[in-house]
Amino acid sequence: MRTFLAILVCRILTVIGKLVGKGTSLPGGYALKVCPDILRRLKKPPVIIAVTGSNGKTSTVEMIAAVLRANGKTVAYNVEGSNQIEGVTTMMLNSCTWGGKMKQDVLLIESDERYTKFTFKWFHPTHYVITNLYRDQLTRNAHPDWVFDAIKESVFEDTKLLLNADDPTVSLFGQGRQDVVWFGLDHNAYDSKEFSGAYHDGAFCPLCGKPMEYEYYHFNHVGQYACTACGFKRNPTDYSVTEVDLDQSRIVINGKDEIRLAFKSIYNIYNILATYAICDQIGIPTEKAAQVTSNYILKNGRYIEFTLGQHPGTFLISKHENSVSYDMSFRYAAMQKEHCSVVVIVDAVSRKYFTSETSWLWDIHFDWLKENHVKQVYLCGKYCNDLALRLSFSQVPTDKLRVFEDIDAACEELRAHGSEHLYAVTCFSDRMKFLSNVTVK
Amino acid sequence: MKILHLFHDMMNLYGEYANLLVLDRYLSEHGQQVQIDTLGVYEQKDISGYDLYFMGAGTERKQKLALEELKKYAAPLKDAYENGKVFLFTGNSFELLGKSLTDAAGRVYDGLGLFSFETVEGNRRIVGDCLGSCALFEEAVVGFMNKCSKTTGISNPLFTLQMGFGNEAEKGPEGICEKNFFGTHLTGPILTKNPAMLREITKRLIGAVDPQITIPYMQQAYETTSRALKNRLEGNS
Ligand SMILES: [Zn+2]
Repeated sequence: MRTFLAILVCRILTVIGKLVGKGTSLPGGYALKVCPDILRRLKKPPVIIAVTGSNGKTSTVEMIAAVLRANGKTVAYNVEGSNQIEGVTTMMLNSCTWGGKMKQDVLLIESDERYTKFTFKWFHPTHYVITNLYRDQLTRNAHPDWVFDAIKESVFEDTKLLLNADDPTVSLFGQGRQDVVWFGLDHNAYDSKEFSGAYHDGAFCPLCGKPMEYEYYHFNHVGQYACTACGFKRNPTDYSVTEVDLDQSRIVINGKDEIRLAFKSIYNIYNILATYAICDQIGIPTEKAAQVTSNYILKNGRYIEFTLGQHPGTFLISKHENSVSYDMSFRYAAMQKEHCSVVVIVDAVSRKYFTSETSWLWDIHFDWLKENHVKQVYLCGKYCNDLALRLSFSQVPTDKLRVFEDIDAACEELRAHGSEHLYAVTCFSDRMKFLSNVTVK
Repeated sequence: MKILHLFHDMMNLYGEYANLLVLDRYLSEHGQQVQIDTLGVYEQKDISGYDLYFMGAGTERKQKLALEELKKYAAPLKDAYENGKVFLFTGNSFELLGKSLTDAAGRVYDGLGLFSFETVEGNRRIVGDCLGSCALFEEAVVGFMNKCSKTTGISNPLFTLQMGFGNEAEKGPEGICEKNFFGTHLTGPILTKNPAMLREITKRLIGAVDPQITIPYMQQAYETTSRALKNRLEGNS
């Protein structure tokens, strides 16, 4: 009876929520008040996949769902922004029968890294993908060790872990476990021997604290590492990207499945690899996963082509308070080698909570933009002066900087002048402030 | 002018290194020859003879590792402090110089004992923007708190917070200021965020500052954040 009541409350509130355009977590929140253990009571699908980590959750979940559906599986999954227990509850209660039975083949959950322990207090995933752990949203997440401890509380013996072997902190979840499935990138042409970044979160062993050595880096602290003292090191991988050719927009996984890249970023490669690994683990033929992820264009608006005046442009979503995501976007722009300008916008640090915190700007490796083919760097929004102050301590020549508090005015100047390619880099919170000025393809 | 960046490789959360970037530039603009050396956490070397010692914040685990290594330098640090050398310790690094540090599990670590305060960590994260005042200058102090500890036994705090959690209480006294020692739980580059704090540290190093010398964009950036925080405090945002 309580189960039924919780489902009823959730669905009524969802209908009302849709009418007034409210979020997806409130109905689940009320349902949890009606029946706190509702998630335990529901009869869940035989396969429950959870995905967590700092970056790439939403994209990975979207691609997993696409592969599953293309293979005739029914899947219930949550969309971005509803990845805490309330949002997960809303999704599950709206996907089950009135009797509380989820009839789908797979339950697929994007789980907020700090709150995942609350969701999995009530049931355990059969498979758990952990993508990476970076400095991210310090206002909520404090720092990666703190997040590690929070995720740790959601990792149980009866769950199969799929871990990114290239990230040392993530690898620590596999310590002392036998059945871990590891995924990672083999050594490739885009690696570097030297560390690049404003700070090195892999400098010391997460297990014993002594220095680590890297044979090579894929990016930031992600790569082939080994502790100099205790033996902790990158694990051999079960799923490996064996070839990367960004010029040809292709990768090969496990030496057999070729996948074309709609977006040539290392991130995208990790997301595809995680998707491939989990799909194989639950019995989808690997060539099918390769087929669906090949040329897959994400629907979640992380990569958008646009024009502004005579400029063709690419919008690269990053996350404020997440320096690695900015590093990735700037590295992408720097690697394209064509004449370009870069637009960086920091106007509202967060759309979810108040903060005026900008220290994360110093963690971003702006030096990617020192390249000669980067013509100008537009620094825009309320925090344009913080950006300019930060950039004035980077290797980017100051005469390249254009500082605009008014985002529209910056776009106006670009509309009137120049035709070089633009890379616009900002967060969800500031996305529309830029996109409202351009023509999206 | 010789500056030592202690454990730059481990105690480096959220842009702490920028404190020295901006101090370097500001001192150089004042005609100082600045030499900044680093002491890696597992390095051993003579650390005497510096004008300023700086350490930034780390995660709680790294802070404990740093503590063990820093103890090797207790004597020279104490000497430098007694001799009026300037210290800037931000975030949880300044907790190392107290009498003791207790982690969330109840394990007690001895501090270096330069000061008699004590710190106890808990499971609650204290994280958020801060706005405060400092007896040494007029301008409001802006910054960010990211800790899980309470520090008791400080009689000379550095700031008083109007927004944020101080040493041991909401909107309470924050940090420590003894002789030329500046310790604050605020993390990240507080010197890039607070022009007045940069001037104060510089004054302690060279006696006076030239008001004509400024770092481009710094004042405007400060005003953006102080305005945002004051609006927040007054309930306008
Ligand atoms: Zn080790």
